Amino acid sequence: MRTDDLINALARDVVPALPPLGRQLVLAMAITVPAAACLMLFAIGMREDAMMAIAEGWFGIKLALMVLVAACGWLLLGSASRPGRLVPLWLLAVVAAMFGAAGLADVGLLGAADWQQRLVGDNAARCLVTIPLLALLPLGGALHVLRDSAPASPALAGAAAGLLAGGIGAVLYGLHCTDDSPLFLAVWYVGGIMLVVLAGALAGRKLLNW
Amino acid sequence: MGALSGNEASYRQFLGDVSGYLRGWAQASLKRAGRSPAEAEDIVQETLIAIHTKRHTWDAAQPVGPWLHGVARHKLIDALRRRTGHDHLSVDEFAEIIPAPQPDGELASSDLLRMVATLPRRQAAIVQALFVDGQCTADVALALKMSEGAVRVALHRALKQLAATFGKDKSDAN
Repeated sequence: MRTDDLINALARDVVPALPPLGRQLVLAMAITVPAAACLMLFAIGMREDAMMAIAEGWFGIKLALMVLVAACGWLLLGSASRPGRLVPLWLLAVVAAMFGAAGLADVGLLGAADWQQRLVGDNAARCLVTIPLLALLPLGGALHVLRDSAPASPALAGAAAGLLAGGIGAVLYGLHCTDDSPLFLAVWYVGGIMLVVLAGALAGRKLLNW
Repeated sequence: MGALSGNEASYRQFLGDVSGYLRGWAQASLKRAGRSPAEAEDIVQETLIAIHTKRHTWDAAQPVGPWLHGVARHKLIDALRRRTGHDHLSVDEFAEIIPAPQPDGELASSDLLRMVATLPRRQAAIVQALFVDGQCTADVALALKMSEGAVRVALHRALKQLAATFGKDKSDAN
């Protein structure tokens, strides 16, 4: 097999390149996130006190933390799915620090007296099921696009896709769930997101080799 | 970097320049890993196919150098793993007994040929005629009684299939 002939054939290849990876990922999210949001609205439902809760503050902080998780997943995914990039894993430390700060604020403001009650909350088990469920479509969409990508580490790219999808699932579930305490989030929301990250890593290892 | 998205001539020039650089780099890397530099052409060709099929993963806002290097490193690691993973017998142990084959122009590529053999018959025939026998597209079209356009489309599918085969090989090995 001659390299010069290969180069000639590649240069003459008729089919244009795929759309840029970033654009494909945006498109995948533009399709799957609204679909997941519909699933949340019509099958699970918004919490009834949403308007009041947002005024109290913790609800908004919860949503902001989950948006932060998804944004972190998006940034990690951008570099993990392309060759020759450093993956900014330090972003995870920033997210962890934000969770830590929110947890401290919780204990500081509300007192440590009934922290166990806030930790266990009302919806612990549902969290671990519903967040992955809502993350399923965005994760599938991201992995589908990533099959044509070129990750240095397929497992890491899959895990980043899982973090993005898990963060999206957590934002959506957060609109339903009435537990807003950062202590609760750090255990149960993070637990649900981690399940999605794990699923993404395993799927990535299997599907994203190139 | 217009060549990656631009016209045929500058893209060919680009791939040619890259292949020259890759060859030297692959030979040096193989030598450092204690392997025969004869494997370099395999890595060069697999990297070229990956550059082509994955070119949409290069972000136009970023320099192309690190991207190229990332692709090449991935293919080098693959090649190193493939041999140490599957073969219990290292050819290198016999390197002093068996005379090293002279790098014949830019031939070689046992791994690629093995993968070409897994393509559908017509695609394999096209790849064989173009890359091994060095025919041009028009000759191949005539010989296979296809239009030249059909040959190119079949070639495109074959290249995509080859790129996918590399990945599948690894999934099976995991």
